Amino acid sequence: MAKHNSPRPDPTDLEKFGPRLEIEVGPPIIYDRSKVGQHALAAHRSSRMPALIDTGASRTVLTPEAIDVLDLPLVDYTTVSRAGGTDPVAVYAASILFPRDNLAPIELLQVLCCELPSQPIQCLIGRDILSRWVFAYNGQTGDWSIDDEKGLAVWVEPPEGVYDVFISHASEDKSFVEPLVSALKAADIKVWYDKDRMTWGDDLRSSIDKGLSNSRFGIVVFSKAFLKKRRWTEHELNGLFVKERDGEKVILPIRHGVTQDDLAKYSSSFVDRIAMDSSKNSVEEIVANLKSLLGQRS
Amino acid sequence: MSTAPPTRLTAELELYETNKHEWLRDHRDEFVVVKGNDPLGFYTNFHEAYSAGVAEYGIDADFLVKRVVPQEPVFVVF
Repeated sequence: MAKHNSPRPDPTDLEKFGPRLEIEVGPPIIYDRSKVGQHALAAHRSSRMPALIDTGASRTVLTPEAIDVLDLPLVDYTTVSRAGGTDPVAVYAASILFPRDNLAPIELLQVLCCELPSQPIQCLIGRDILSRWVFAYNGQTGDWSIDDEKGLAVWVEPPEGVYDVFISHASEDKSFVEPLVSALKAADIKVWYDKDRMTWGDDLRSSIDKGLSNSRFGIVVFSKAFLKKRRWTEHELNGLFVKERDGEKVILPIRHGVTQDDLAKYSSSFVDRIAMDSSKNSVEEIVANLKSLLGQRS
Repeated sequence: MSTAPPTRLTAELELYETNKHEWLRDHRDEFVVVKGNDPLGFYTNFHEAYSAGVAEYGIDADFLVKRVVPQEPVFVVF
């Protein structure tokens, strides 16, 4: 079984919040057998939400609010036993995807509709889904992992905001980036950077999404190689721009062998953006600059 | 919503209760699909049953998919 461990500042986060992962819930995905290939019978409307893995739930549960939004098809009624007694509940058909990791999608399952009072989540992943996985919980280190039936995916959830900075770069620039990462780490700055993942693919995309959503800033190393690799670098940039919607600047551009005009041509968003320049600013200056920003916003 | 008595699929549930004894004899542990007053058929698992219902009634329709068992299960959620 593959194993992946993410840095975690406080091992008690797992004890406090439990094992959570992001899911995408929607109506069942049913394919039209009359057509060649796989054609879903309906457009997939869905909603992303955090879900808590709950070994105390024999079935997967969604709140009435989540079901109303998704307009899921009703298929049955059943009875649920909870601490307060037993309740009749509706049973809906749904699909659950795992957009941030590589677990096999569940295209059809029955979900129970229950209120989840005092819980800031809308879904409990129950033992019906757990029966498909190997689920490992390490309370001593604060890590947990899932391995699905394909044996492909293990994901350990980093808590929100665990990284100070995400580094977006082209693999051709590692001779500049790796010393920068070392200097950032030496300055006690938590860095999302994995040189082994810097080839494009689904795994990388989910890794980037995790890095973006769990980082306070994004350093983007703009180089000629970066500007050519529009396919994945645009995905990263879009994710960073989403984080800037509240007006706070989180993208920290570094020009590496390109001019400000090159940058402006790549994206008009950078026309007025002050960028550091690897030919003028030392790694130490870049680290000091970021350290100062982190101090201002801590 | 979750604790309210059934307000949809009532005709289907009535049909199930009416025929349960007979269906238990011939289709125990299978999944029956019912829409209105007509059972569509019996299937060995939920996926087959639901897919057959979608093929017959469409992706957006409500229809009953119920396992034919002598005692209704109670699911625990803690």
